[in-house]
Amino acid sequence: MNQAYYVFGLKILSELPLPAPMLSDPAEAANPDIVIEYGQTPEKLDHPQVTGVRYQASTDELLLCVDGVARYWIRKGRRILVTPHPQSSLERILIFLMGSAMGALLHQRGILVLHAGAVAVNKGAIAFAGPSGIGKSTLSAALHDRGCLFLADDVCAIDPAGKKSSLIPGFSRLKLWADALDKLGKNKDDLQSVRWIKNLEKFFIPIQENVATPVALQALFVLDAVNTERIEMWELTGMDKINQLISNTYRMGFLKGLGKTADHFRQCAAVAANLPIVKVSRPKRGFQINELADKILERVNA
Amino acid sequence: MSGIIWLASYPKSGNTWFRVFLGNLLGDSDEPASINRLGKTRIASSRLLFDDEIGFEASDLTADEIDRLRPELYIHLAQKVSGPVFMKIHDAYLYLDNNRPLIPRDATAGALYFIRNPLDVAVSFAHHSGWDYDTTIARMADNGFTSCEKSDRLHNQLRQKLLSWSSHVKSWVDQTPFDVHVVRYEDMHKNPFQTFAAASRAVGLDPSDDGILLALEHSSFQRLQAQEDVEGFIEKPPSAKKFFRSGKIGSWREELNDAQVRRIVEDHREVMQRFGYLNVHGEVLDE
Repeated sequence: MNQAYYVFGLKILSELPLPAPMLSDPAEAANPDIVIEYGQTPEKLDHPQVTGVRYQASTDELLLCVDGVARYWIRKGRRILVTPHPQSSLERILIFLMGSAMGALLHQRGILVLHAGAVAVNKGAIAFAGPSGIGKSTLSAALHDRGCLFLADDVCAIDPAGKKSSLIPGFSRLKLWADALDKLGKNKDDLQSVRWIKNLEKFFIPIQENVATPVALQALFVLDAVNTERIEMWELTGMDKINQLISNTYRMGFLKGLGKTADHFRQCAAVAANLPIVKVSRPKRGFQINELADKILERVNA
Repeated sequence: MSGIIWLASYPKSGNTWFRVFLGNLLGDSDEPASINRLGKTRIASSRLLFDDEIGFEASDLTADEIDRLRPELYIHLAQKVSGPVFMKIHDAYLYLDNNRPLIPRDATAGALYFIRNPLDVAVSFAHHSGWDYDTTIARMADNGFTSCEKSDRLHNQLRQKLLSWSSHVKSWVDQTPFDVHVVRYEDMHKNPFQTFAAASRAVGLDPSDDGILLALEHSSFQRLQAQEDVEGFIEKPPSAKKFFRSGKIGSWREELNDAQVRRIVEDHREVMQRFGYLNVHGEVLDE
């Protein structure tokens, strides 16, 4: 039984139940932008432009193979076909569907996708990029605790059109590691585990709200950890801004395979022209997530 | 020959020093290369490298699942590059559950193994990690020793099984399906020209004598310390006061007590004798 959802500004008709707002009007579901179904996927693509260890990409298609979970075949920005591994579970399949597979689909649709998290503050959306482990999701959770609306985690879609770029809200799911829960004073016993397995202590933070429409983007914060004592922030200019957008793009290898790097550069330049980008360096050790969240709010509300 | 040239070592054994030397040698500049631009030699356990090349994130996998993909990552990288590429690695040379080595021969174009007197490693590793000497000595003797292994957080590197200091040495020197050229840290100090030249040639480089001399001058310990004083070093862990701390040979004599020395010698007697750190009577040899 297929169900219609609305995520990333797109109508999605999916055979897999998604954690996303549903469209109740059957007429609306009639012409979906995207269809997600179970089905047979090829083991490899015929003429890949770029081959990674577990993906292949060509102009119109991308094949992602997650060992013991599923194969995902993403085509023309319109269809995702999923072949589950017999021993897999829906929860496992959804993790990679909502991450790499959806990221690939957005790339195919020409949407700028950053590896970033985002929340809404009074004046609009703010996003935070930076390498895995820098604290993007923890910062989202800390800001969410301060009343900000959750918009995106990891796969962050940006529409560069218009005078101001806007943030297109993604799946309302936020995953946090146990040590981050401790720092935020949350109890993991109350939360659902991302995967009930030893050696991976990661949990879902419940998000009640579902923001459906794009939110004007106020600033992008790029996080970095250095050997310093205190948190410092400074606004970037010129080419540095474009470079940060490029280096924080979600799965650059996918884009290369799709042959869209020139379009992507133009998009980054367009976004850089109208979006403040702030570099944030925080101490490698002993930094306080709550202090960082407060400083960021202070800066955007000033 | 294309493929990965492994710069393998237990931590604090001269690996970074050699990377600075390589940066200077291959950079071929009149100016010393910055210690903060050693990007050309990546570490095999980099999370970023894994996520970029695999297509999905290590953070959604267990450490064992990650390990099963790592051999393919290195084969993929070896095929992708046009010439040899250097990669630092602290993992022991291990075979996975499926009997495949973590570091496959197919990905490999060469390997250097840096070894240092474990008495000095203990002192340096303790300062590096912010541990006391007894803790460090116990970890160096622990065959289950791993770094970045906590499962409740996202480490910036992937989990690395180091094993004990002795097992680490033997894994790289005796258990690889390819040749490994062993470089003693003490020789890097005492006979720098011969040692660095032989190591360079062992991995297929053919530098001129002048090139080696200039690269050595630009990567002298004093230069590295001076650079760290001025601009800091991005690879310094927060627990360490300085990365390039002393670089001396034999500082264990002032730092370790008799019981600590005895314990290291007992833990690592066989390998220490084999690499010239102990004589046949188990007495520590002068450097």
